[in-house]
Amino acid sequence: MLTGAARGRRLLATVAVVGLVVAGTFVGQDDHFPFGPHRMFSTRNELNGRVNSAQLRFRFADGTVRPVVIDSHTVGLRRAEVEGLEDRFVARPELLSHLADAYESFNPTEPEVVAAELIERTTDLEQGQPVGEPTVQVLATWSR
Amino acid sequence: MEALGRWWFEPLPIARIAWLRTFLYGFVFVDVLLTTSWVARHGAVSAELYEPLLVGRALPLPQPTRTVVMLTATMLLAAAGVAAAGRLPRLAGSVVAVTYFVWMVIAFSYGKVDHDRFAFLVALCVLPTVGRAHWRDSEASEAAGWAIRSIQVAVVLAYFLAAFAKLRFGGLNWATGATLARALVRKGNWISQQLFDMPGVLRATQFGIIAFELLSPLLLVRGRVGYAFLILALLFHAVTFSTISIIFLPHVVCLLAFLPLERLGRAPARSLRRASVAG
Repeated sequence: MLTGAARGRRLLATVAVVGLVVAGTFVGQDDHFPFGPHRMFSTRNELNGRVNSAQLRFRFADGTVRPVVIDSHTVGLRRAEVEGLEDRFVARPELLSHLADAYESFNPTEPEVVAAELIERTTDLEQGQPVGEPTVQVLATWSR
Repeated sequence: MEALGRWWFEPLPIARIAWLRTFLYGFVFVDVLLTTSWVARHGAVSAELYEPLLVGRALPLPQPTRTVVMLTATMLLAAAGVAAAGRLPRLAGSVVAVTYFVWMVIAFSYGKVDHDRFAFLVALCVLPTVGRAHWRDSEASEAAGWAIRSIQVAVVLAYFLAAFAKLRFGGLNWATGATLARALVRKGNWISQQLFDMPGVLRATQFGIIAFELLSPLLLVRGRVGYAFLILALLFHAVTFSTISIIFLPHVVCLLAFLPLERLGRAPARSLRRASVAG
């Protein structure tokens, strides 16, 4: 049997956590983790809208230019994270150097990364189906 | 209210706590080393890209350098190992809860927050409160009851509240939009490419998701209804994984709290006894 005090502590914790997560759902933001809204896939996309995704292109010291998959294995961050930080990369393109640095730390045998471009790839949707070739737009560029 | 209190504190098998500890603390290893191993790689990213969450700004947490990430992971896994073995349940369990929380701040302070951790964090917080528990314990206790119910309710809240988040961010007509089509464009595989050619299926699925989330309290119903919904939930996660390669794994392991795990400890004992009678 739990004592009255032990029960009281548990009740209090229960009410607090349930209250916070319910409040977070209606007025919270991601910043309020772990009580932010459970907003995975919660935004609505127009059937005739567009879908964006970020891409990264590096120029290496040996002159080659290659697209680099954005992933924690390559640049230390996942694609959704790079997209979440997109505004900052646009405002301060020199921040792309950190992705280049992370890439070099994971790939020590490859030539140095001397320049980077952050690209947005846009796919148009028609009635919820992708149509045509995706368009690409350079959001930020940086070079050593 | 009183009925709710009775339900929440109803004595439940202590053995289920022991099994939940083994599975959930064991899952910490899977989570850190395999399924979300990207968290550790944040150590390679410059502190200039670190944008700490509110809790990260409120608490005096160090910047996640390589060393900080390594130390946090080591402490977390060491404590999880001890706790999974059922040793020092309060101390080791509390260390896991705190260090896992720090781990989450490292994970979600780089421009993206995932939404699959709520139930798991609740579980890590409540599991230490039960104290000692053995896999073959045949007793039930209110402390175990409260902890198990809390995990169950957290699982249901995660589903149920997600429906309201969709209403808030996507609007009333979320279900008629192209949310899944977007997910398929971004994360699709060969199975999901076939889905583009089936008009209506994606939208019907979106209605289905909302219905599933709103009906999730049925998980708490005893007996057949609850189990049927549990199977539905597992199917939902399997389909999500096979089409858009997304699985809310920390949440999925918390579904274990709905199973009579205590029977795992009894079964071998019974068959042993039967064997000795037969012998």
